[in-house]
Amino acid sequence: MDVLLQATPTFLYGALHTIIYCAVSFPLALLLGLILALMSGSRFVWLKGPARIFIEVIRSTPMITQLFLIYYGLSAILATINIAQLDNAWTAGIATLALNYCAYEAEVFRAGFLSVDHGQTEAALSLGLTSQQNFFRIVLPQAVPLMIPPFVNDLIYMLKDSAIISVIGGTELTAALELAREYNYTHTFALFAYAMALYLVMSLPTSYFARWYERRLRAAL
Amino acid sequence: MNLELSRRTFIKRAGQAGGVVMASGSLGSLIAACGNTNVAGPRPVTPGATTVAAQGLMNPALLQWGADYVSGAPYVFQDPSNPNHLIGFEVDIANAIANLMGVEQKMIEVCYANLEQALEANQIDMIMNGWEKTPDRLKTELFSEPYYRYGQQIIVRKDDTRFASITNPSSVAVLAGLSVGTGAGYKAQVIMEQYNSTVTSSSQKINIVAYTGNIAFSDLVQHKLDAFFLDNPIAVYYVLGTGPGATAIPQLKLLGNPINYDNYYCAFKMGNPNATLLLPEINQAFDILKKNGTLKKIYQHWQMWTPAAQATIGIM
Amino acid sequence: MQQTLTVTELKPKSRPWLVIFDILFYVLLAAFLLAVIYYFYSYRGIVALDVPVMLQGAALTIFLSVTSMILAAIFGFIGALGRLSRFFLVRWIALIYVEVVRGTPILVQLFLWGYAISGALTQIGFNPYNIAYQFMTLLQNNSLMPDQVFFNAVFWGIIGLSFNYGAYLTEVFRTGIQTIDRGQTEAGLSLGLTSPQVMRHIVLPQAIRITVPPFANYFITLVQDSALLSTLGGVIELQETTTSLASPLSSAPFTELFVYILGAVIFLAICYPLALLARYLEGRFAVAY
Repeated sequence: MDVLLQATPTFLYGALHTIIYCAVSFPLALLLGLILALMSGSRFVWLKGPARIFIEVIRSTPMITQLFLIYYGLSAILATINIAQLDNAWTAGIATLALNYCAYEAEVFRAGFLSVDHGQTEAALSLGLTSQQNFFRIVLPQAVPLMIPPFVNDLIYMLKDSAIISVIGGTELTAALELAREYNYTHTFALFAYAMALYLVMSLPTSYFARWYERRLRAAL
Repeated sequence: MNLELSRRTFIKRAGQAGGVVMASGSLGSLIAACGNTNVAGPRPVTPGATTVAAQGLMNPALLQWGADYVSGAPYVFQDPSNPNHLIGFEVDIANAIANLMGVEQKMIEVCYANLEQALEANQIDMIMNGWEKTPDRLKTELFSEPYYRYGQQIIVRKDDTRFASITNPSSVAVLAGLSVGTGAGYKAQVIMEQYNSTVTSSSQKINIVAYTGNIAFSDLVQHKLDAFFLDNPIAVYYVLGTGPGATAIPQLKLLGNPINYDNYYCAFKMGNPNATLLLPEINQAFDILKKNGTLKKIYQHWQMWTPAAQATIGIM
Repeated sequence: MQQTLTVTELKPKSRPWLVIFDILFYVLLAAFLLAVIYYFYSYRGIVALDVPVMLQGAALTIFLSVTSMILAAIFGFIGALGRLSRFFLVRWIALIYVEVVRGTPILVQLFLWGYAISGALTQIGFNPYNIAYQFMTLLQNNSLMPDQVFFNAVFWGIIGLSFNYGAYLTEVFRTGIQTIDRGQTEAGLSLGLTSPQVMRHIVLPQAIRITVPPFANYFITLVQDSALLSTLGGVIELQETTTSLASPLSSAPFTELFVYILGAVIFLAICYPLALLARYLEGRFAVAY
């Protein structure tokens, strides 16, 4: 239908923006999650405490609440020193996605590290390796294959959660869908089907990859 | 308080002048005169007339008009202190018409996108919700005389020096090269897109930021945008805080007078015998309200009174 | 059999001077808590004004979540039976349902239900508000009916949420049903128990052990996703009350930030105990009989 053809450029741009949001936020979330996991696994309370508090707070509040806090609340504060332009849909969206998902990634990291047999660490330390060497050369390489399926699942969740950014004026696929619907509300079902098909094209191959990888992993273990 | 604004689709060309309305009105009275002897034709407007017939109503004691109150400020919306009570300038107008007719008025809530279907399905007598004439609508609807002449209003920050020299913008060209916010699907967006298509250099094009749902004026305050461009009733309501539920935004100001004028009409179902009776009665009611100053008072109350523009449609 | 070896426990090199920071941390934590209490105290006017409204929103949030979870469990159960059906077509429909719903954002699905499908059905003449109103009239009680726009928005919001979570619960129930070894059922029947007795005493206790922990986690996620209903017009749950109380305060930015924080705190107050409960249930159900 020509309505769909008309909408295609904006929808593809929207899909591209969705991918950009996830491509930038996910590595950031992984990095922050790793730091948080190391902090929450530490024996020092002054590292463990803040990390655990942060993780619990993030996991107990909806993402849209966090998004509004960062976009509207923080902008209002930044406006008093006139740098509120920095807090636009892009930065607020990426910041919220990264902060929200780093809490979940931290839990995945922690589970991954715990799943490596402690005997490995004991053997490493008794052989004279330092804590650092133990972590990077013994624990991490064994933990990473186990953590990849949950990471890929979280990536799929992030692809879908990026839709929330349309509420604060982002330009990703859901926003493109809403704009197209304003002009063509008689064809609203066709537009919805098109946008959902695009989301499926982005998420289904990724989920099949995760399932294939998990099957291979389970066979190897 | 819900800050979401209504979703309305505006189509490019403004409608033709009221010729069709006059023709259908006179045709209707001709048919009534030549046909049934039972039906009393519309009374001619006599100076000093204070009542209007109410023949064309589906329910003879109730004027049922369709509108959408969800994010419908200041047209028709819920009183924040009493959500069961609806307020707005169109509620005021409906009350005035109903008083003239000696009937009650009731707003039938219909989602804005479905107003035409409700009219077709005879669920309402007429549509009154900031309705414009468009070529598509002229095919299936009859239009009353205009009851408000609205324009698109530019809103800027008070301390923005780029607009210090402009008292009254002549056209949307004053926004060339800036980031301008508006509601998605609003006529203002269409006007800006039309302007963009006439401009060749991309640095002179207007960067349109369309909001679906919440129109965040705070983005303009916080320097994320350069201006807003939307219908003047909505602009006035949110920036000047003209009604309950709106707080004035002191950092923003309206830049001069509205531009790109067009009219609001009431719409009736073409081919409905009730509509052919009701339309001239509503027109008569509007004539009376325009001349005795009621409409002017309503618009002044909502700070929508633009004397020069309203005079062109007969509101004194 | 475990080998008993006496091994001297290896400890990483201790750095005792860093432990001093532990004490410092507790002091800082106490100071931080006092600062938080003082922060809330300094805005006590706003708290007194806004918290009652937010609590009404929170009540609606809880109502939405519970109702949606019950409906989602029904959808999930039907979906699980569909996924495990003998008929190829039923299996395919269930599979498409699960894959499409899990592969698209919940926000898009809420828009689909709340705007597109509700709009299409209203044109045909189906208006859930009217049906509910008639029903309440039968019960002679329709003064309790909220306004039509609100009711319709809440109705379609609940349907949208349950449809989405039904797909996830389909997988949970399917795993639960499939993990129970058929041998259990066969043994029960061969011992003379009737089918319902087998279901009640043998299959369900094991199935519940497997399905309850993810169920509890999904409930917490559902409570958080109910905040998305604020994007549909007319649903005045907790997030919507927070936004509508905070947005007019653009001239008092710190107060605006405080209102957003207040909303988040109430969400915390709802979800954190639920998270603790979920973890406790996980621990309890992890131990097999």
